[in-house]
Amino acid sequence: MKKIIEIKNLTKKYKQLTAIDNLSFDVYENEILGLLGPNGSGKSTTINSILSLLNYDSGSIKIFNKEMSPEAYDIKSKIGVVFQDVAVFEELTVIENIDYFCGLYINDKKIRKEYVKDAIDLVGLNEFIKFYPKQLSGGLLRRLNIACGIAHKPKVIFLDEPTVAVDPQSRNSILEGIKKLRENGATIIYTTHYMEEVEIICDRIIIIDKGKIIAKGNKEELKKLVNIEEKITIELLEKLSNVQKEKIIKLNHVVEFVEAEKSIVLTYSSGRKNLSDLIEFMNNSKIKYSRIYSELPTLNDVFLELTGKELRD
Amino acid sequence: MIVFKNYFKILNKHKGVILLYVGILLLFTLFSTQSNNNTQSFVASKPNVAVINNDSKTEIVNNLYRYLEENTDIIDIENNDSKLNDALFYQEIDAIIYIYDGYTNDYLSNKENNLNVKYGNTVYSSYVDMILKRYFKIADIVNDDVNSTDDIISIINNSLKNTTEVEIKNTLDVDTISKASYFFNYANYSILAICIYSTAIILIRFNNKKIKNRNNISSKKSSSITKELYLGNLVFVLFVWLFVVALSIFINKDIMFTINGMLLIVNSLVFMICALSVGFLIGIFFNNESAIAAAVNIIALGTSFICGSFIPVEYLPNTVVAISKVLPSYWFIQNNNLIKTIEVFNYNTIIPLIINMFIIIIFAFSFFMMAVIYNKKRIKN
Ligand SMILES: Nc1ncnc2c1ncn2[C@@H]1O[C@H](COP(=O)(O)OP(=O)(O)OP(=O)(O)O)[C@@H](O)[C@H]1O
Ligand SMILES: [Mg+2]
Repeated sequence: MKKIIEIKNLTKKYKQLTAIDNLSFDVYENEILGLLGPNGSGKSTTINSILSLLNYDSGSIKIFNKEMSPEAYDIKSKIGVVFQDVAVFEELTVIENIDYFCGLYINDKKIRKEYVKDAIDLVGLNEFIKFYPKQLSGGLLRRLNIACGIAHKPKVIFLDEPTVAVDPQSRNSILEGIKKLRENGATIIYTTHYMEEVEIICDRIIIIDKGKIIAKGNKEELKKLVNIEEKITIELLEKLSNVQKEKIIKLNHVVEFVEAEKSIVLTYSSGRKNLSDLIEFMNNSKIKYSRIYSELPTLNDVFLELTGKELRD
Repeated sequence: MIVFKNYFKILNKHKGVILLYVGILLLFTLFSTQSNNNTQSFVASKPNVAVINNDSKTEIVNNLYRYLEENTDIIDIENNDSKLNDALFYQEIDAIIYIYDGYTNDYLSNKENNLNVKYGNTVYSSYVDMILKRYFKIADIVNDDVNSTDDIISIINNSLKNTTEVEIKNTLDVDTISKASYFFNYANYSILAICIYSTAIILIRFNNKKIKNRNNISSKKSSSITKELYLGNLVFVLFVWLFVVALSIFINKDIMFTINGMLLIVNSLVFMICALSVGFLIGIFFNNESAIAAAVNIIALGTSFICGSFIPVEYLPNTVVAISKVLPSYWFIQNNNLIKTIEVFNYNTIIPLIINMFIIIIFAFSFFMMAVIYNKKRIKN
């Protein structure tokens, strides 16, 4: 696989705060790389440093095998960025905004017209091209923000939390759009603190916390890092006796037992038929329950395992 | 040229506000033609002078007296220094002409041909100067080759008659040029408002950190983005200037093509550049639209009031005038007022104009520098 971006020992400090701490990673051609981390973990700082929008303290950044700098205009011409904050001109309509930002890269009017149209199609803003930003909902505004960043058909695209505070419909449309961009050949760096998104669209994931990489790999590899096979929740219709509890805890592979008011959660370290065993046990012991279901571990569990805290605040 | 184009696209969305300022300019233009009617009769009236004759009543003195009676209103005031000065101060008279003892002798023996004159602070003071100069210019030439007093006097009077017609035409020009000068005084508000508003609003948009990041990450050189922005700014301001000039020509016609008219136009261009620099400063200092709107009103309206755009400085309290001197509008308006009084263009009459323009340019330069320095500091933080 061809390396597109190579980051070595990147460190950025804001006065005393080390926002990113000795980060090293590569991005490969045509992959979707997810940068997952909670608020304030340093995702935006990482992206802005890679883009030379921030002065970083040490490290090296190579894109397309060339040193990235504010004057590296040949690299910049192949990059598209969707910033975390919506950045558009309120005086310009949807189509005028996209045309302006595309025009910073593409001089030819004919080509630009086509590109702008493609971008509008991609994010699904066809009905809104004459709208002003103020007239758009939060979700539509985010889509405009994306269109402005990718209209010039860049080879590498950075997306910094493009789905924050977006309705489900817009979110799906955005995620679909990102998949399409990859199908069209782009390499994508995607930051978010939503683990579900990362699981859906990313090929590789880097989990960062407090400016440090705490894990990286695809989702299967990451999930192997935690000592859990599955979690089973039972919603009870009656209280368990102490004897019953002891028996449950002694079931095969159970490593954790958490009791809530009307439910219990069992964590299993391994095993392939835990759910059927548990149902059999419940029926044999005549314990009444309304629901019983199994969950596979999530990246949140991975994060919890590695840092001792939840990914979500 | 995408940034250049974008400059006008954004400005286009603010045309409501800009047209409002243009509307105000048109309204003031109406005022300027109106006020002109008053001043026309006013200027056409003769200046008031006091004549103190310490010489004897010779024919030469009497002739000068007659000439002054024709061209000025001679006011009878007691020959008392404090009374004379009071009259000058309260603008009852525009000048005091002292004919010293021995003037006739000096003149006839070709020694001295000048009088001590004390001028007031009115527009008509320089008019008095003009009237005297005209007389002495002729008297000078005559004196060279004629000996009899009677002959001298009759030649002076004949020559004066011949030049009188030219002079009358000149004084008419003074009336029309003052109309044009009022127009530019009134334009102070709209020039400032339009330049500040348009410059500042664009600056705010493009200095927005998020937009700036987007521009910076693009493959367009940041220097060329800046260049296109400045070009847009310059083109727009020049366009506004041309509009103001066109309007002044439409209203005041031919007079704008005289030297006085051209000087008014040049003066407005210099002031325009200064207004641009104020816009720069405001755009760098503030970061939202309402702050700009407030700044525009305070600066454009405020300076118009205290710098003599609406009310001539002569009617303003001294403290106000003192304050207004630290504002470029004061010097712009001073220049407009000066230009309308100049009849003879020479070193002495042009230099004050140039000094005033220079002051305006210094203001512009310091505003630009302040903007640049403040901006650099802000980027550092
Ligand atoms: N300009 C700044 N000055 C000082 N500290 C900053 C600055 N920008 C960010 N930080 C700090 O650096 C750390 C990383 O911030 P960053 O914005 O990169 O996080 P993030 O992962 O993008 O978070 P979010 O999910 O909220 O966008 C945070 O602790 C933040 O408070
Ligand atoms: Mg961020």
